[in-house]
Amino acid sequence: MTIPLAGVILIAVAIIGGAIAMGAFIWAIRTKQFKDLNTGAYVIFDKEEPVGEMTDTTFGYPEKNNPKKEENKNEV
Amino acid sequence: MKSDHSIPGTEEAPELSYRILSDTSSSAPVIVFFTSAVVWLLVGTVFGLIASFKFNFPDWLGNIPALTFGRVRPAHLNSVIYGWASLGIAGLYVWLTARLCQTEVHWRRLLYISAILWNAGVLYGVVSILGGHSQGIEWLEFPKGAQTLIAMASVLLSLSILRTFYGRRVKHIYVSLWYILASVIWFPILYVIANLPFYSGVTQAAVNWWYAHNILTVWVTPAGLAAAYYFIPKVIGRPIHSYYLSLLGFWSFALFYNWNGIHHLIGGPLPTWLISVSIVASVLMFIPVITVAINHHLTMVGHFGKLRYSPTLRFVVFGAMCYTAVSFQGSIQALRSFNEITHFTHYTVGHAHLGLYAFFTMSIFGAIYYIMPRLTKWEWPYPVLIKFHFWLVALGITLYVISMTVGGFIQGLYMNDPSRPFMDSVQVTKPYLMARSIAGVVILIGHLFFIYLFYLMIKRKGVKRLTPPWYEKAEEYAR
Repeated sequence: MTIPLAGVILIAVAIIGGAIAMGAFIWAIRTKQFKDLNTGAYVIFDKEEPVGEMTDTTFGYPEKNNPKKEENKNEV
Repeated sequence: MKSDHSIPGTEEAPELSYRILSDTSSSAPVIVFFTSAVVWLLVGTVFGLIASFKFNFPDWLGNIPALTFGRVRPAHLNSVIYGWASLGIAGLYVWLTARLCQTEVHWRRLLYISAILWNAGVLYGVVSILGGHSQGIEWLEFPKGAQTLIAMASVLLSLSILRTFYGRRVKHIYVSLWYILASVIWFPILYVIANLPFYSGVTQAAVNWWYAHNILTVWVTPAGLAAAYYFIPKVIGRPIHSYYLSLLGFWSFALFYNWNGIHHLIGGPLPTWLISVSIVASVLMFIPVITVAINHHLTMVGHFGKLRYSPTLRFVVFGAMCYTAVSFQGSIQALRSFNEITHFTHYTVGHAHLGLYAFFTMSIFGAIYYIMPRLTKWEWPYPVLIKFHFWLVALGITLYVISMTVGGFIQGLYMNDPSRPFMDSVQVTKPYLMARSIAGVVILIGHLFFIYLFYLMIKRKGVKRLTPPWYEKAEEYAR
């Protein structure tokens, strides 16, 4: 049985693709991406937008979670 | 709560200003992507509505060749997928990558070229379909020229995003970024392979559905999930409930989802093992889906009250809930015994819209509501219109999915009943198809509200609203 050229190309691409995914996984382990997972979740927060504060209040300000409420009243 | 929370992974980032840096640099390309996406959303909705009305009034517009069902329906699918969804994804990815890498957008010129090529490709493709030059393969109807333009555009987008990733200022790769990276690496490869010119017959069908399902795997779903994993914790101000589960979800998603395509061909003339493998993989999708469902629900628990204040949260949470629903439905639908009933019925159409609209489109709406004020430094002018938008599209898509699911299931039962004439299975769907058209009109009205708001945003028009403190700071930095 002969495999057509197209098939050979596609199988090669599939193997390379699998290797990329495997490589990414191994790289992630080596660079300790999966160590200390509890703190990883905090990477989207910072001092200006800390845990505990809402960052979208387009419909109005909640009573809690609004340290800047007094300022805002004055600015209207 | 002002806390001295140390932020792991951000030590190297310049204090305070990285968000300003990334938002400022992503502003122009993201607005270009979103604006063209919104235009295609309107075009796609109108085509969809015309196609829907043809089920209720079969002779309507029947004498204009370009507006016959066989052309309007693929025009709807392609303008929505390659126009609205893809350009929306591009905007989301550019913005989110810059933020999660805590750096500026690199190679912005490539992004502008990408946007131009992408729009040109979709325009050329949709006009060709209406002109009768479709390739006749579902999801791949665009002629080769249009496909070449889109393929080039997607490569340029990926290059820019990967370059931005390379220039990152943070060690930790957040779960959303994993989804984005997998997505931008695989989408161009998938798109080019599916469009190679040497498939025919059964192989063409296999490649067709391998592609059509994998565009959900590598393009649509990662975007929705990346949005949910970023916006839900970011808006409510609470980290993901179980970060470990979110990463397990990503890697199991990467392992299982790409095998699913062939379940579209159950009963088709393919090797049985090929279909069986696909069914097994479809059922294995329960694992990543449950990790996402648990995570998003437990992150939200105790914070549902915040849905009152944030449009982003409403849309994204609605999308995340529908992701669970559509994925469970998809896994069940892939089983042979169930597929016997629902295959070739409107049930499948309901499933597709639960995925692409109720999950994906709602998530992107949420993302746009969050991103735009940070790019234009202008708060959404009329919150009440956002509420109209949300309720119209949420009720519209709910009516759509319920009517198609119920109608399609009955249709399937009728088709499988040899004692009934085939026409019964057509007649029985009529009220459900009317409900679908009504739902479509409601959704279109919702979209008009959204488009009006979006127009006001890019023009910075309408009522100047009190902007939250972080926008004020942004202006200080810009000076």
